[in-house]
Amino acid sequence: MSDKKQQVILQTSDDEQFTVEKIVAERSAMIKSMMEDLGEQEGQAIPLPNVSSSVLTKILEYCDHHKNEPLPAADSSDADDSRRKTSEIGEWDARWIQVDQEMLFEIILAANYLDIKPLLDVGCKTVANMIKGKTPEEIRKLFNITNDFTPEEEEQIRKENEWAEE
Amino acid sequence: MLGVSPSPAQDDAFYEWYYRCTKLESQSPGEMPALGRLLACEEYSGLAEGVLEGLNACDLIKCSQVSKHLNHLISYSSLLQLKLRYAFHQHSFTSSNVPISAGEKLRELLSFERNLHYLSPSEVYSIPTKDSLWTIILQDRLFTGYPQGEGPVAWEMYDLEGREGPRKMICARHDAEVLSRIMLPGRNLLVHVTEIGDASTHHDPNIGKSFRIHFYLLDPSSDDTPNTWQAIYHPEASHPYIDIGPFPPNEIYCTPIVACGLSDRLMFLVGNGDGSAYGWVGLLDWREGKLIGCIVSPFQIEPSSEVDMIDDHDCHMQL
Repeated sequence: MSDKKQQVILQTSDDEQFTVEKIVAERSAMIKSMMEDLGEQEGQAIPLPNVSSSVLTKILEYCDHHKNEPLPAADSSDADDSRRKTSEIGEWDARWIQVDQEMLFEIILAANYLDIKPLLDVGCKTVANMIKGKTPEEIRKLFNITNDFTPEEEEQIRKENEWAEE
Repeated sequence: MLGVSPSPAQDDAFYEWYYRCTKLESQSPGEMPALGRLLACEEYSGLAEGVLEGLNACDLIKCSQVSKHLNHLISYSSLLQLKLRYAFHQHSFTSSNVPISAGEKLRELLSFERNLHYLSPSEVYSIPTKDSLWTIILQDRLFTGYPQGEGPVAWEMYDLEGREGPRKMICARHDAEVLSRIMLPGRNLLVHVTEIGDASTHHDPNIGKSFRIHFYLLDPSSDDTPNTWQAIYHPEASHPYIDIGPFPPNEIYCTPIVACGLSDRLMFLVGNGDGSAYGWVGLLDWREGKLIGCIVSPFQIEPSSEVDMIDDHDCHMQL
């Protein structure tokens, strides 16, 4: 098999094309499935209309780093569970995902769209880590979320959850 | 749109809420920080749930107080609810994490329960005798108890006319020694009381005897043993069991008794073994898994004594 056959072209929403190793692209279950559907059509770019070039560049970095790891089994809830239960983010992943909120949001959306479950987990855990230990007001401030509870509702919820404040 | 606007005469709290909501309405998603959109917009609910799954119960509760959207997400996610329910259960009732003794902890628990429910302060229950418990069982047409050892361990079931049967119901679980059990047939509720350790198992000399009150449903659908109804944890109970610890360490106690009360309430009665100087009576809501109230009676409990469960005019609140 020639080297060319081991590569795949990805086309982003802003019409940039990326030629990447097949093993890297296959970290995305969605791309893998599309490749299987398209078959061996040389030079055929796979369109990714929901991913911009800047986000894909970042995601390919992640996929390249993890390319030799076993792929999560399709529809394997056990594998999902065991991965989710490991709440820690790997050292390399933690450094890699130190990006601004906008990029982190785009990475999560792209990971979801491209069906890269381990990456989606890393993204979600990163946001969860930003929330941990914060008060409701601090969370609102961090994400600019407006408090839409009435004072009565707020008081009721606070009362219901009094037990956790000890 | 909200459809209402506050007049200056309306109170500040309402105005503040109105102001918040109008601010929210005028805020387009584009103005929010990116991750704010993830946590506030309906279209990203699945992803937001993925984020929330990474939080512990304490942080989840904080998130539920952030906005209605997050509150709704948390309230309607079975996984997150399970996490919260488990944490609540751990916090309130499991002696492994929270030492519930006859002292301050139980007082805190009671105070908390009362705050939560705003109960009217007076409910009078009669303490059943063993005979009256038998009457409850024997009068029922579906369930007939028969004794084995200290109490009934199984019930024979007949049809509504009382002719068919019998089918055996396995009521004793083998994972713990059952001190007391009662079947509430109308609700298919089997209640077991087991003892869960003392100072020797808790490694904490301040923790006394605790009892675990299990709530089971008798399930006729078991394929393992035909005509045998297996006891499974009751699906309508918020918690499979609750733990209460009325006695200080090394206290001797009598066999506890459970009796049915009004609606979903159960009464749990246990006397101390030292000449029954006092008895401890707790009132439980089995569906909600809550200890609603309890008293320690300063007198020896006689059959059919009446105990005011909440109001303690005549009974010393010895906690």
